[in-house]
Amino acid sequence: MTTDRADRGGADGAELTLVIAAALYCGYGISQGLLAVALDMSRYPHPVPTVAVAAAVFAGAAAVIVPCVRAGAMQATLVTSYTAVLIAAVVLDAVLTRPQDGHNWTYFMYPVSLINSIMIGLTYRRYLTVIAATVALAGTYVLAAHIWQHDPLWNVLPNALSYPANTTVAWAVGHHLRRTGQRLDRARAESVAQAETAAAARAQARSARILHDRALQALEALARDSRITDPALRGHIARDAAWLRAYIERDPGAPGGDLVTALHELAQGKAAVGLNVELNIAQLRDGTVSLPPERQEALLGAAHEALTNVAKHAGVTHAAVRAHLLDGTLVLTVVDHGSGFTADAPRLDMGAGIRESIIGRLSDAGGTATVESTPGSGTVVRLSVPARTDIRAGADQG
Amino acid sequence: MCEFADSDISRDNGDSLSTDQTDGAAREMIRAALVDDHPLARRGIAQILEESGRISVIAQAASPQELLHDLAGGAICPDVVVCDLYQADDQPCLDAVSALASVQPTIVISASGRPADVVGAISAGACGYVTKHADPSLIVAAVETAAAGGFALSPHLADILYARARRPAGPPGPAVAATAKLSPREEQALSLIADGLTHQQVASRMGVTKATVGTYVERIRAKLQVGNKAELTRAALERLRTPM
Repeated sequence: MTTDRADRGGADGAELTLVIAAALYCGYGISQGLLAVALDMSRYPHPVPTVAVAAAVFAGAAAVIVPCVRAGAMQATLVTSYTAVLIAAVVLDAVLTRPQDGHNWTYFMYPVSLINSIMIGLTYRRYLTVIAATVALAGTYVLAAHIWQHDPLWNVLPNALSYPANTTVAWAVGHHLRRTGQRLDRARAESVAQAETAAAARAQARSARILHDRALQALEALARDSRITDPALRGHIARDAAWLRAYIERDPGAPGGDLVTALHELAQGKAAVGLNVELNIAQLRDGTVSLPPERQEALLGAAHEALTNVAKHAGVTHAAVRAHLLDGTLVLTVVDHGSGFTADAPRLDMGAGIRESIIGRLSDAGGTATVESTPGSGTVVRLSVPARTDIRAGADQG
Repeated sequence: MCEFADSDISRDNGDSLSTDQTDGAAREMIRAALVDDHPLARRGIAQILEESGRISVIAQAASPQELLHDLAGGAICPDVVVCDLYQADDQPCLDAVSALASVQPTIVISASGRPADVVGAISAGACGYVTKHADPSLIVAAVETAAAGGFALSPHLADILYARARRPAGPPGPAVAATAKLSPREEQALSLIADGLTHQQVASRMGVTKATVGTYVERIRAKLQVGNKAELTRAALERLRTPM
């Protein structure tokens, strides 16, 4: 019955521990009471009612403890009722065994109620309730012992202090045990959640690897296979390949997520129009780059312009986009080895337009841009913006 | 065993990375061997190499062991080996790369490489790394550079190496021993190459000659491939002779 519950740690385990403690104390109290009654019965002035009171108290204890043990937790209503029984018994016993003269040491309810008061501390969560019950019980004892047992106050009052001592210590232990149990439960729940997240991430990584080992390679090989003669078809395949690559390489949880994603989307867009963009952004994947949205917009816009110009004018099918971090600056370079241009070239206005729009955009956002081009050798566009970086030491990103 | 032509130091390896073909004298066809367990990818790479008109794919194998066996038998004699970094399982085949690299210049290729694995392959003796989806001219250039005995430092590889060099000190990856630090000039050259510039463009930006850039590239390679090449060879061949 309780064996499987004992395996539970946490809050349940704490409650069970407290119930077992209460049961043990209760058992001890009953045993002590039984012994006292057995030994003193002969000296009771009214043996039958006295023994009846004792029996009621013992039976009441069992009536409380057994359901609590079954439930695995102290039941406050039962304990409150039993406290009332104890209070009544304290009075009755005092009356029934009152001595004609002097002290007769037959007042068994004092030790019995004292032991059972521990149950009060172990049950109620709020200390105020514990104190209320303790005062009721202890107060009744003081009155009963003094009035009917003729116990002098200098004896009764120190005795009465044992009640709050018992209940307070019991309460403190119960409180701490319950708190520890809750903390344990919370920690367990957290680690289960973490394990689930880790398992999900591993599954995602595994499926990503599977995807790219087979499907991505096949798509990329097909995209440039000359046996597929329809360029539009090849374009479709190239776009899907770029999407798949971006999907696999992009990890929303990874650092630098936004910028990396945006760059992948940029590359994808260009793949669709036949420009193969090589993204070399190993440093971005390593750590976190903080770019305020306007600055990131400007940077990406400028990169988009540069790539559009490669696609339209450079006469090549390949461009390299690289991002690296240097002394608080993010530098994005767009390089192609196409036809290039000069100020004297027929595309004069085109050249100036490029410079203005790219450089203008960026300087508005606090960055700089340089455009260098040599006819026949290609073009190098270098975009820089200030950036906060936070590269994790020892990080290993795929 | 094939004869391994010593690298021609006076020949400029940098030019290979540009599309400029004015370098003159007709060369012999470069003989290449491919290793890749993915048939479609293998065909694609073979096509790219053959279409250049300067490379002839003389052998294709589905596993490094297969190629090593053929090489040992003397049946084939390639100038360059192009080997997929990830064979059947998801692990980089570093031992195989080491063994192949000890026999002939070996370029490592993959659809997508984890930086630690790529650097591991270079440390194991590979003389270059390109991605399968790179521009065909880059792949061809890498093979040509390797055939001439040089270090095919593609922009992609340079970017990976640069990121690794700039990373604040942390525990080294499993495949990479502690590598010597690069000098500031070497780092600068590495970064410019990573941008995608030709060696000539790098040289004019840094104010040095093309030959100096080539020297930086070789120094970078040396710092990555610490250890006696012959030692690597012997150890790797031993490991591969034992049945897997």
